[in-house]
Amino acid sequence: MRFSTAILAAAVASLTSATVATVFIQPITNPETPPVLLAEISYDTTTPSTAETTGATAGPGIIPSEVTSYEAPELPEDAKLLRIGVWDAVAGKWVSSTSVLSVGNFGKGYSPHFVLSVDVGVGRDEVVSVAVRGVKIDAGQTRDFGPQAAVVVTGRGKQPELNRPVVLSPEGKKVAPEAEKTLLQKYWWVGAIAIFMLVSGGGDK
Amino acid sequence: MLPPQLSTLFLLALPSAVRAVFQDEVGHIDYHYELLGLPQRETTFFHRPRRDDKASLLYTLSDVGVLGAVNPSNGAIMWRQKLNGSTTNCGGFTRAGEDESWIASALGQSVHAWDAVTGRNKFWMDFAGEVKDLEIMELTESERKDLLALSDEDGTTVLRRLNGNDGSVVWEFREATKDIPLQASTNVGKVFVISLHGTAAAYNLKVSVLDTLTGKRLDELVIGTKGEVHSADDVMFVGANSASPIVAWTDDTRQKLRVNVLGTKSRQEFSLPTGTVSVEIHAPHLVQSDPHFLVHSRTATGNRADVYHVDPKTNTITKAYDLPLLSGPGAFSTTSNGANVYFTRITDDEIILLSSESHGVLSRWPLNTGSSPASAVHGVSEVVKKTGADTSYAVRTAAVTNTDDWVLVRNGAIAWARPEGMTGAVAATFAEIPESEDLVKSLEQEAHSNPLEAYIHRVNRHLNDLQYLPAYLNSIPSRLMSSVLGTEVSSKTGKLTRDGFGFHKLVILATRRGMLYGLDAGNSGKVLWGRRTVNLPQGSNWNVTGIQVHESTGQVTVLGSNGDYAVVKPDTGNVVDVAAPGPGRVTESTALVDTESGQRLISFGPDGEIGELPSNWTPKQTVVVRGSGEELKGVVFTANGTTSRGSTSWTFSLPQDQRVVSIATRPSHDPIASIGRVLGDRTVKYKYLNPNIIVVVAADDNASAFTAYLLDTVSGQVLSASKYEGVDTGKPIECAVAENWFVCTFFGQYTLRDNLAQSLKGYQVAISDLYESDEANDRGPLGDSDQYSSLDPIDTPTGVALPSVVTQTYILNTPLSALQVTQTRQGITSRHVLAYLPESHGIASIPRMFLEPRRPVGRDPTPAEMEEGLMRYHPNIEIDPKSIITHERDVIGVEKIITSPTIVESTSLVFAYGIDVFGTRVAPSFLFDILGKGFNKVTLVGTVVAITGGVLVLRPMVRKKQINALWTAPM
Repeated sequence: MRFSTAILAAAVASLTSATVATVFIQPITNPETPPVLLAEISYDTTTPSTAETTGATAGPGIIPSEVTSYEAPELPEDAKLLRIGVWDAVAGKWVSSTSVLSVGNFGKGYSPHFVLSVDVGVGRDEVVSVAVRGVKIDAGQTRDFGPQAAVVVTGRGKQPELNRPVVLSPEGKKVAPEAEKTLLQKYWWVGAIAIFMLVSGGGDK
Repeated sequence: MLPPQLSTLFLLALPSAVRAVFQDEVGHIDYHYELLGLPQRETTFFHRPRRDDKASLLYTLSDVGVLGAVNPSNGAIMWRQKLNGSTTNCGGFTRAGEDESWIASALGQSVHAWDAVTGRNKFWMDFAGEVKDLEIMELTESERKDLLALSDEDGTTVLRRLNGNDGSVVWEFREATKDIPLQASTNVGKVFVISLHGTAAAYNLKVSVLDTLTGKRLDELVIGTKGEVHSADDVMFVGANSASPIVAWTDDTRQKLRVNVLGTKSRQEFSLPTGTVSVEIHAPHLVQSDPHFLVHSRTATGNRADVYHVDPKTNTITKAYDLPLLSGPGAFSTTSNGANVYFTRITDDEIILLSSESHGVLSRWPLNTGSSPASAVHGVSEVVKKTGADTSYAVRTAAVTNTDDWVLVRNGAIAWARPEGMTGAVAATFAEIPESEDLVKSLEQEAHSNPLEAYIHRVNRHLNDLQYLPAYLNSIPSRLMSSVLGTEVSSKTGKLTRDGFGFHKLVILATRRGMLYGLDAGNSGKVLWGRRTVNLPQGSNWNVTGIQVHESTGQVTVLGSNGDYAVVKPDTGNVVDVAAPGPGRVTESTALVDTESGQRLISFGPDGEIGELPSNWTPKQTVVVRGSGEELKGVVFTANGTTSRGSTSWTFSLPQDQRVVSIATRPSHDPIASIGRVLGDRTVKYKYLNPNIIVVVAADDNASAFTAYLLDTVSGQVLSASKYEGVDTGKPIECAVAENWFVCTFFGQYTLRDNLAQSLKGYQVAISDLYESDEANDRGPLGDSDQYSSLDPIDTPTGVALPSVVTQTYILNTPLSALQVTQTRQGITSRHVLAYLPESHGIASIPRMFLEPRRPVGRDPTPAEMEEGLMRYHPNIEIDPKSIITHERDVIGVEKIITSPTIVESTSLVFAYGIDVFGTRVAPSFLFDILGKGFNKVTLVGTVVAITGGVLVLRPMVRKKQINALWTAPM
């Protein structure tokens, strides 16, 4: 199972230009024990975010992502709080910010929901923060009990909504806006069709 | 019912009338100390701004970079100019030409000339290097007087002669040696440039002699110092423009004084008294004055002086007389009237006037400093000689005291004192006026004993209180009268007491010079006490990292950065406990945390290291500290026996190239009156009211952008992040957080993303509201639960568990700084954003309603939106002059604004500090719970009395008439 998802993840990664974030977990009471892999989340920063597709010019953008592998953590008995983040196993250090959660999030009846904050720069993207919360499984509402992820790209700051610039004609006078067409000018063809129908359909009997 | 047009007129008139500061409130509810900063020894002088007028003004360039003129007769400021942006120890130079109507100043890289009467700028010149000295050439080939500006341009010594009329460069002398330029000097025929030549171990003095007309080098002299001069500070310079300018320095052990007359190669030696710790030289600065100078040597306990004369023909120096050793540090000042030179000696109890010619005392006055003993550190004097039948003298001396006041002593009596020490303030806090400690103690005792004992104790206490009853009954008539007439009682009695409105609070102000001040905010900001709490070494600043008022004891703790602290009583300034700065642990910052034993101020070392704390100091919250580099850490404390240790729970590290610019947190007093906002359609948008949020501003200099991160400080999760592009990251970016929103102000220049044809440039303010969900009537992941934890799982499945953020950006017509939000007791009153306007020297109080992010864009608000109070969006916010709470006052150099709630909900106390000190109270939703001054109690009482009287008179008449009517049979 573990093996196959890894292959699947690799396949996803190779097919698209997806990035994979490796989320590790560690009890905060014993920082000496190395963190263990919790999940791999692949996302693609080149796809437009929800904010962009809905036409909003600001606000957080959630981009498509997928939990490509997930393994419920095996935790020591006495662990209460856990730390998660993106861990670089080669360098042996956290490469993103870390956040804290309680063990209860991995309890029975909860499915983990990941939130990744990603900062997209020129030619690079960096995971700023990783958080996971257990969300109660409500069988009446959803059939999807597996881990889920949301990748939030740093939103673009709101810019002031300037007024329409004043348009000047070459003579330096204000150009009057084009007069709105009247209802008849706009919808004359509806009338034309109606008349046509009346005329053409009238002589049946 | 009013006609509609009349009612709109009424509505329009109402807010503007109420928001403005009424004329009769000015000076009543607000107070302002117009300050200059502590005058520096070399940059303070008396000068006659008009040639044919005898009156002179007192000019100074202070240690916070403010140049100003003070009327010596009453201490009022005539004009002042802030010369640089920062308020650090500044140095600088000011000079005035004899009989000239302008004065010149130099600070940093620029030289300015100012009109001496009005303070208007005459000209200014900016140069490449820092200006090291400024002198006035009194005698030139033309009528005007010129300026000599010496600057150090990266190893090149440059002396420029500037035209005194317009600042243009007459000639320039350049020397590309690695010498350290010290001073320029001039006598009648030559210009001297003195610099340090050689290596740091043993500098020699190099004097370049220049021609006044062309600036060409005539001669160069090197004077050996035998390795006694190690830095520029070791050389004492005097007589810069006198007939025989000299250069003087001492040996390392301060046993000998060595003096060289400029232009000669020889140096003369004079012995100093044994045990000398510091030496100052006082000499006239005028060409026509006698070339005499005074050497003021201070020992550990006393001070003495020796007067020397220079023979201009032979360039030999002879000792004329000496003045006896007196206790205390003492101060001397030099005054020259034509050829006559006077020295004024200021001791702790006397002012002594001497002539430079002989040791005979011309006049002496006992010094009456009043109740507060203070001794002069340095001063300047003006001497008037009254010739007539018997020659008499009058002296006025402006002296800086060791308590950081600037006092003017006229013939021994103090004419005025200015609390200039309140400039350079680094921290301040509001404190309650302490109530009698006995009451607190007995209440505590009652709480801890059994009910019967407590009851007996209470009855006894009340019986004991009966002794105050007569005094209370006595005070009733006066209280009643003052209540009817609308005057305040408490301001009349000299005692500090709390008032029913909570306006009477104390402000404790700490300055970088180690002084603490106590101000009475309820009584026009009167300075109750000023006390030097820490003695700092010369040139170092008191870096206050935290200030806190203890809830139970009422004492104020001030923490410094080098393990130093002071605990004082807020009403008297009496020091309870103090520790001097030591070499031990370095405190980078402090945090106020809730512990088992009440609120505590805990301190952090570099990289946020805390160390062990006693277990009853264990913070209940997660403490956020700056780690190494661009990193924040959340630290949780766990008690283990008697101590508790902190361990990192989360870390927040910024992406590549970003650096932390500022961090904003919610104020410690931020009550929430309503958890939601009722919209026009009667649905509710629930506010995201997480008490554990901070806003971290991270700037990316390469990309000219900043990102505002909203962090949950319990879990360390990023709740929201938005990147503002096209921002000048060199300019300050500031944020403030309150309730469920945060504002950030910055300077930006960019093309709009929506419309590439439009671009904008200017100061902007971005405001973000946080709600629990995008939809109304929805509490998002919080659901119906009454408890919430950032760490625990979510029981209500919804979308992504993040707050909904609504943001809007406005363009400002002025930069804002020192952002602060008003605080009221219960948070019912709407909030205002207070900000200092560094360009117009005022404090604006911007209603939160104007900054509302939900203002409808591009259309008029619907009736439902109007009901909510939403206005149509306009991209620019003009700071309304009526919203400026400093009104016409010129408040300079505000670094920080603090606010405090009062007992009445409507009002928030405001205090601003930095250079000037300003305080007022604001009522963002108007004074809904206080009767204004316009309320006429006399009329009200009079009306009630008149109506009662009328009723009493009319009732029998009416009754009689009714009875008569009943008994009269209808016909």
